[in-house]
Amino acid sequence: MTDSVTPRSTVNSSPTPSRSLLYWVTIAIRLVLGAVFLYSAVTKIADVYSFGLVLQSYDLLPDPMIKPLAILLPLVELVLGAAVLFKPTARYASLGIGLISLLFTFVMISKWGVVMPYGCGCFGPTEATPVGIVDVGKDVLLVIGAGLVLFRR
Amino acid sequence: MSKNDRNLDKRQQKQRKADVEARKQKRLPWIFGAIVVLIALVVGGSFLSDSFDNTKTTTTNLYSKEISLQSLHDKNAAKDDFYAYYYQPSCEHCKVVSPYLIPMAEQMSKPLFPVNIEGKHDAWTEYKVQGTPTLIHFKDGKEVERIDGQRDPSVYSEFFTNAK
Repeated sequence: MTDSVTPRSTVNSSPTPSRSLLYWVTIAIRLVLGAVFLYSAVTKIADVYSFGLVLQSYDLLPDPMIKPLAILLPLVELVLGAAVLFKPTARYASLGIGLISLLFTFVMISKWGVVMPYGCGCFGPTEATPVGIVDVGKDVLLVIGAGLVLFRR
Repeated sequence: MSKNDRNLDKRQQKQRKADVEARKQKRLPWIFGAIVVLIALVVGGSFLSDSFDNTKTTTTNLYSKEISLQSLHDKNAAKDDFYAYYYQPSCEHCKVVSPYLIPMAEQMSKPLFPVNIEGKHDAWTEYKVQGTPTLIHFKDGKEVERIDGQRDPSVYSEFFTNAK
Protein backbone atom coordinates (compact mmCIF):
# COMPACT_ATOMS: atom_id res chain seq x y z
CA MET A 1 0.00 0.00 0.00
CA THR A 2 2.73 2.43 0.93
CA ASP A 3 4.45 1.80 -2.42
CA SER A 4 1.59 3.49 -4.27
CA VAL A 5 2.21 6.83 -2.50
CA THR A 6 4.93 8.67 -4.36
CA PRO A 7 7.33 10.95 -2.49
CA ARG A 8 6.01 13.88 -4.55
CA SER A 9 2.42 13.37 -3.44
CA THR A 10 3.57 13.14 0.18
CA VAL A 11 5.32 16.52 -0.15
CA ASN A 12 2.24 18.10 -1.80
CA SER A 13 -0.12 16.89 0.88
CA SER A 14 1.61 19.00 3.55
CA PRO A 15 2.20 22.45 2.12
CA THR A 16 4.58 24.91 3.77
CA PRO A 17 2.89 27.72 5.74
CA SER A 18 3.88 30.42 3.22
CA ARG A 19 2.53 28.43 0.30
CA SER A 20 -0.66 27.80 2.15
CA LEU A 21 -1.04 31.53 2.85
CA LEU A 22 -0.50 32.36 -0.83
CA TYR A 23 -3.16 29.81 -1.72
CA TRP A 24 -5.71 31.44 0.58
CA VAL A 25 -4.76 34.93 -0.59
CA THR A 26 -5.33 33.85 -4.19
CA ILE A 27 -8.70 32.35 -3.26
CA ALA A 28 -9.65 35.62 -1.51
CA ILE A 29 -8.59 37.68 -4.54
CA ARG A 30 -10.58 35.42 -6.84
CA LEU A 31 -13.64 35.84 -4.63
CA VAL A 32 -13.26 39.63 -4.60
CA LEU A 33 -12.73 39.79 -8.38
CA GLY A 34 -15.72 37.52 -8.94
CA ALA A 35 -17.95 39.53 -6.60
CA VAL A 36 -16.91 42.87 -8.15
CA PHE A 37 -17.45 41.68 -11.72
CA LEU A 38 -20.74 39.90 -10.97
CA TYR A 39 -22.10 42.94 -9.11
CA SER A 40 -20.91 45.23 -11.89
CA ALA A 41 -22.59 43.03 -14.52
CA VAL A 42 -25.88 42.76 -12.63
CA THR A 43 -26.19 46.55 -12.08
CA LYS A 44 -25.63 47.12 -15.81
CA ILE A 45 -27.94 44.32 -16.95
CA ALA A 46 -30.69 45.64 -14.66
CA ASP A 47 -30.76 48.89 -16.67
CA VAL A 48 -28.93 48.30 -19.91
CA TYR A 49 -30.29 51.48 -21.53
CA SER A 50 -28.88 53.68 -18.75
CA PHE A 51 -25.54 51.93 -19.19
CA GLY A 52 -25.77 52.89 -22.86
CA LEU A 53 -26.14 56.51 -21.74
CA VAL A 54 -23.07 56.08 -19.53
CA LEU A 55 -21.06 54.80 -22.50
CA GLN A 56 -22.33 57.68 -24.61
CA SER A 57 -21.26 60.18 -21.92
CA TYR A 58 -17.63 59.09 -22.36
CA ASP A 59 -17.80 60.36 -25.93
CA LEU A 60 -15.22 57.83 -27.10
CA LEU A 61 -17.37 55.57 -29.27
CA PRO A 62 -19.44 56.18 -32.40
CA ASP A 63 -23.23 56.00 -31.74
CA PRO A 64 -23.82 52.71 -33.64
CA MET A 65 -21.40 50.98 -31.25
CA ILE A 66 -23.16 52.11 -28.06
CA LYS A 67 -25.98 49.55 -28.04
CA PRO A 68 -23.86 46.48 -28.94
CA LEU A 69 -21.26 47.41 -26.33
CA ALA A 70 -23.89 48.21 -23.68
CA ILE A 71 -25.19 44.66 -24.17
CA LEU A 72 -21.88 42.85 -24.67
CA LEU A 73 -19.86 44.38 -21.84
CA PRO A 74 -22.16 43.35 -18.95
CA LEU A 75 -22.45 39.84 -20.41
CA VAL A 76 -18.67 39.52 -20.67
CA GLU A 77 -18.34 40.80 -17.09
CA LEU A 78 -20.91 38.24 -15.97
CA VAL A 79 -19.04 35.36 -17.63
CA LEU A 80 -15.64 36.52 -16.34
CA GLY A 81 -17.00 37.12 -12.83
CA ALA A 82 -18.44 33.62 -12.70
CA ALA A 83 -15.44 31.98 -14.39
CA VAL A 84 -12.87 33.45 -11.99
CA LEU A 85 -14.65 31.71 -9.10
CA PHE A 86 -14.00 28.25 -10.60
CA LYS A 87 -10.49 26.85 -10.38
CA PRO A 88 -10.23 25.34 -13.90
CA THR A 89 -11.23 28.63 -15.56
CA ALA A 90 -9.80 31.07 -13.02
CA ARG A 91 -6.57 31.85 -14.88
CA TYR A 92 -8.26 32.47 -18.24
CA ALA A 93 -10.87 34.62 -16.52
CA SER A 94 -8.22 36.60 -14.63
CA LEU A 95 -6.51 37.30 -17.96
CA GLY A 96 -9.80 38.68 -19.30
CA ILE A 97 -10.45 40.66 -16.11
CA GLY A 98 -6.92 42.07 -16.22
CA LEU A 99 -7.27 43.17 -19.84
CA ILE A 100 -10.71 44.73 -19.36
CA SER A 101 -9.61 46.51 -16.17
CA LEU A 102 -6.51 47.78 -17.95
CA LEU A 103 -8.71 49.17 -20.72
CA PHE A 104 -10.95 50.82 -18.11
CA THR A 105 -7.86 52.30 -16.45
CA PHE A 106 -6.74 53.95 -19.69
CA VAL A 107 -10.28 55.25 -20.32
CA MET A 108 -10.41 56.72 -16.81
CA ILE A 109 -7.00 58.34 -17.19
CA SER A 110 -8.12 59.84 -20.52
CA LYS A 111 -11.07 61.45 -18.69
CA TRP A 112 -9.11 62.53 -15.60
CA GLY A 113 -10.75 65.54 -13.94
CA VAL A 114 -13.73 65.57 -16.31
CA VAL A 115 -17.15 65.64 -14.63
CA MET A 116 -18.98 62.59 -15.93
CA PRO A 117 -22.77 63.11 -15.79
CA TYR A 118 -23.37 59.53 -14.60
CA GLY A 119 -20.21 59.15 -12.52
CA CYS A 120 -17.68 56.57 -13.70
CA GLY A 121 -20.55 54.18 -14.47
CA CYS A 122 -18.53 51.25 -13.14
CA PHE A 123 -21.60 49.92 -11.34
CA GLY A 124 -24.27 51.61 -13.43
CA PRO A 125 -25.12 55.30 -13.44
CA THR A 126 -24.53 57.29 -10.25
CA GLU A 127 -24.11 60.93 -9.18
CA ALA A 128 -22.17 63.27 -11.45
CA THR A 129 -18.57 63.33 -10.25
CA PRO A 130 -15.21 64.24 -11.73
CA VAL A 131 -12.97 61.28 -12.58
CA GLY A 132 -10.20 61.04 -10.02
CA ILE A 133 -7.85 58.82 -8.10
CA VAL A 134 -10.65 56.64 -6.68
CA ASP A 135 -11.91 55.67 -10.13
CA VAL A 136 -8.45 55.01 -11.54
CA GLY A 137 -7.31 53.33 -8.30
CA LYS A 138 -10.22 50.86 -8.38
CA ASP A 139 -9.24 49.69 -11.85
CA VAL A 140 -5.54 49.53 -11.01
CA LEU A 141 -6.34 47.33 -8.00
CA LEU A 142 -8.39 45.04 -10.24
CA VAL A 143 -5.48 44.79 -12.68
CA ILE A 144 -3.08 43.92 -9.84
CA GLY A 145 -5.52 41.35 -8.41
CA ALA A 146 -6.01 39.72 -11.80
CA GLY A 147 -2.24 39.68 -12.31
CA LEU A 148 -1.70 37.91 -8.99
CA VAL A 149 -4.20 35.19 -9.93
CA LEU A 150 -2.78 34.88 -13.44
CA PHE A 151 0.89 34.61 -12.52
CA ARG A 152 0.54 32.53 -9.35
CA ARG A 153 2.34 29.20 -9.76
CA MET B 1 10.58 -7.23 -38.48
CA SER B 2 10.11 -9.96 -35.91
CA LYS B 3 6.77 -10.98 -34.45
CA ASN B 4 7.71 -9.41 -31.11
CA ASP B 5 8.47 -6.07 -32.78
CA ARG B 6 5.14 -6.14 -34.62
CA ASN B 7 3.30 -6.85 -31.37
CA LEU B 8 5.16 -4.02 -29.64
CA ASP B 9 4.29 -1.69 -32.51
CA LYS B 10 0.62 -2.67 -32.29
CA ARG B 11 0.61 -2.12 -28.53
CA GLN B 12 2.17 1.31 -28.97
CA GLN B 13 -0.40 2.25 -31.63
CA LYS B 14 -3.17 1.05 -29.35
CA GLN B 15 -1.74 3.12 -26.49
CA ARG B 16 -1.52 6.23 -28.69
CA LYS B 17 -5.16 5.76 -29.76
CA ALA B 18 -6.18 5.37 -26.12
CA ASP B 19 -4.29 8.57 -25.25
CA VAL B 20 -6.00 10.51 -28.03
CA GLU B 21 -9.38 9.18 -26.88
CA ALA B 22 -8.59 10.14 -23.28
CA ARG B 23 -7.63 13.66 -24.39
CA LYS B 24 -10.88 13.94 -26.36
CA GLN B 25 -12.84 12.76 -23.31
CA LYS B 26 -11.06 15.36 -21.18
CA ARG B 27 -12.01 18.13 -23.63
CA LEU B 28 -15.70 17.18 -23.72
CA PRO B 29 -16.78 19.08 -20.57
CA TRP B 30 -14.98 22.20 -21.84
CA ILE B 31 -16.65 22.00 -25.24
CA PHE B 32 -20.03 21.34 -23.63
CA GLY B 33 -19.51 24.20 -21.16
CA ALA B 34 -18.46 26.60 -23.92
CA ILE B 35 -21.57 25.72 -25.97
CA VAL B 36 -23.86 26.25 -22.95
CA VAL B 37 -22.22 29.62 -22.17
CA LEU B 38 -22.46 30.67 -25.83
CA ILE B 39 -26.17 29.80 -26.00
CA ALA B 40 -26.80 31.62 -22.70
CA LEU B 41 -24.97 34.68 -24.06
CA VAL B 42 -26.97 34.72 -27.29
CA VAL B 43 -30.29 34.35 -25.41
CA GLY B 44 -29.24 36.92 -22.78
CA GLY B 45 -28.01 39.31 -25.47
CA SER B 46 -31.32 39.03 -27.30
CA PHE B 47 -33.28 39.84 -24.11
CA LEU B 48 -31.00 42.78 -23.33
CA SER B 49 -31.34 44.08 -26.87
CA ASP B 50 -35.16 44.05 -26.52
CA SER B 51 -34.90 45.70 -23.10
CA PHE B 52 -32.60 48.41 -24.54
CA ASP B 53 -34.98 49.16 -27.42
CA ASN B 54 -38.10 49.15 -25.21
CA THR B 55 -36.56 51.49 -22.63
CA LYS B 56 -35.26 53.76 -25.38
CA THR B 57 -38.71 53.99 -27.00
CA THR B 58 -40.43 54.58 -23.65
CA THR B 59 -37.90 57.21 -22.58
CA THR B 60 -37.98 58.99 -25.92
CA ASN B 61 -41.80 59.12 -25.91
CA LEU B 62 -42.04 60.06 -22.25
CA TYR B 63 -39.57 62.92 -22.43
CA SER B 64 -40.50 64.09 -25.93
CA LYS B 65 -41.43 67.54 -24.55
CA GLU B 66 -38.08 67.91 -22.77
CA ILE B 67 -36.61 71.41 -22.84
CA SER B 68 -33.07 72.66 -22.32
CA LEU B 69 -32.05 74.99 -19.48
CA GLN B 70 -31.83 77.82 -22.01
CA SER B 71 -35.46 77.20 -23.09
CA LEU B 72 -36.42 77.20 -19.41
CA HIS B 73 -34.79 80.63 -19.00
CA ASP B 74 -36.57 81.86 -22.12
CA LYS B 75 -39.95 80.65 -20.81
CA ASN B 76 -39.38 82.41 -17.51
CA ALA B 77 -38.26 85.56 -19.30
CA ALA B 78 -41.47 85.40 -21.33
CA LYS B 79 -43.38 85.02 -18.00
CA ASP B 80 -45.09 81.82 -19.17
CA ASP B 81 -47.32 79.80 -16.86
CA PHE B 82 -45.82 76.30 -16.91
CA TYR B 83 -44.45 73.37 -14.89
CA ALA B 84 -40.80 72.32 -14.98
CA TYR B 85 -40.18 68.70 -14.09
CA TYR B 86 -36.55 68.31 -13.02
CA TYR B 87 -35.33 64.75 -13.44
CA GLN B 88 -32.21 62.64 -14.02
CA PRO B 89 -32.17 59.57 -16.31
CA SER B 90 -30.30 57.60 -13.65
CA CYS B 91 -32.66 58.58 -10.80
CA GLU B 92 -34.65 55.57 -9.58
CA HIS B 93 -37.46 57.74 -8.12
CA CYS B 94 -37.83 59.55 -11.46
CA LYS B 95 -38.24 56.19 -13.19
CA VAL B 96 -41.21 55.56 -10.92
CA VAL B 97 -42.75 59.05 -11.07
CA SER B 98 -42.29 59.95 -14.78
CA PRO B 99 -44.58 57.22 -16.21
CA TYR B 100 -47.60 58.55 -14.27
CA LEU B 101 -46.76 62.23 -13.83
CA ILE B 102 -46.08 63.14 -17.47
CA PRO B 103 -49.21 61.45 -18.91
CA MET B 104 -51.26 62.94 -16.02
CA ALA B 105 -50.12 66.47 -16.91
CA GLU B 106 -51.05 65.83 -20.52
CA GLN B 107 -54.51 64.53 -19.55
CA MET B 108 -55.11 67.55 -17.33
CA SER B 109 -53.84 69.86 -20.12
CA LYS B 110 -51.06 71.24 -17.93
CA PRO B 111 -47.98 72.56 -19.74
CA LEU B 112 -45.33 70.32 -18.14
CA PHE B 113 -41.79 70.27 -19.51
CA PRO B 114 -39.18 67.75 -18.35
CA VAL B 115 -35.72 69.22 -17.70
CA ASN B 116 -32.77 66.83 -17.49
CA ILE B 117 -30.40 68.18 -14.81
CA GLU B 118 -28.07 65.18 -14.62
CA GLY B 119 -24.57 66.55 -14.02
CA LYS B 120 -25.70 70.16 -14.47
CA HIS B 121 -24.54 71.65 -11.16
CA ASP B 122 -25.49 75.21 -12.06
CA ALA B 123 -29.12 74.22 -12.57
CA TRP B 124 -29.25 72.54 -9.16
CA THR B 125 -27.95 75.70 -7.49
CA GLU B 126 -29.97 78.17 -9.57
CA TYR B 127 -33.32 76.45 -8.96
CA LYS B 128 -32.41 75.23 -5.44
CA VAL B 129 -33.14 71.62 -6.37
CA GLN B 130 -32.48 69.34 -3.39
CA GLY B 131 -33.09 66.10 -5.25
CA THR B 132 -34.93 64.57 -8.17
CA PRO B 133 -37.72 64.39 -9.10
CA THR B 134 -38.74 67.99 -8.40
CA LEU B 135 -41.79 69.61 -9.94
CA ILE B 136 -41.89 73.41 -9.96
CA HIS B 137 -44.77 75.62 -11.06
CA PHE B 138 -43.51 78.85 -12.66
CA LYS B 139 -45.74 81.86 -13.31
CA ASP B 140 -44.84 85.44 -14.27
CA GLY B 141 -41.16 84.46 -14.31
CA LYS B 142 -41.22 83.32 -10.67
CA GLU B 143 -41.59 80.05 -8.81
CA VAL B 144 -45.09 79.67 -7.39
CA GLU B 145 -44.78 76.32 -5.62
CA ARG B 146 -43.02 72.99 -5.85
CA ILE B 147 -43.11 69.30 -4.92
CA ASP B 148 -39.84 67.59 -3.96
CA GLY B 149 -39.19 63.89 -4.24
CA GLN B 150 -41.29 60.89 -5.15
CA ARG B 151 -44.99 61.31 -4.24
CA ASP B 152 -48.19 59.41 -4.91
CA PRO B 153 -50.13 60.26 -8.08
CA SER B 154 -52.90 61.81 -5.94
CA VAL B 155 -50.44 64.43 -4.61
CA TYR B 156 -49.49 65.53 -8.14
CA SER B 157 -53.13 65.48 -9.21
CA GLU B 158 -54.03 67.77 -6.31
CA PHE B 159 -51.03 70.00 -7.12
CA PHE B 160 -52.29 70.48 -10.67
CA THR B 161 -55.93 70.92 -9.63
CA ASN B 162 -55.19 73.50 -6.91
CA ALA B 163 -52.62 75.40 -8.96
CA LYS B 164 -52.37 79.03 -7.90
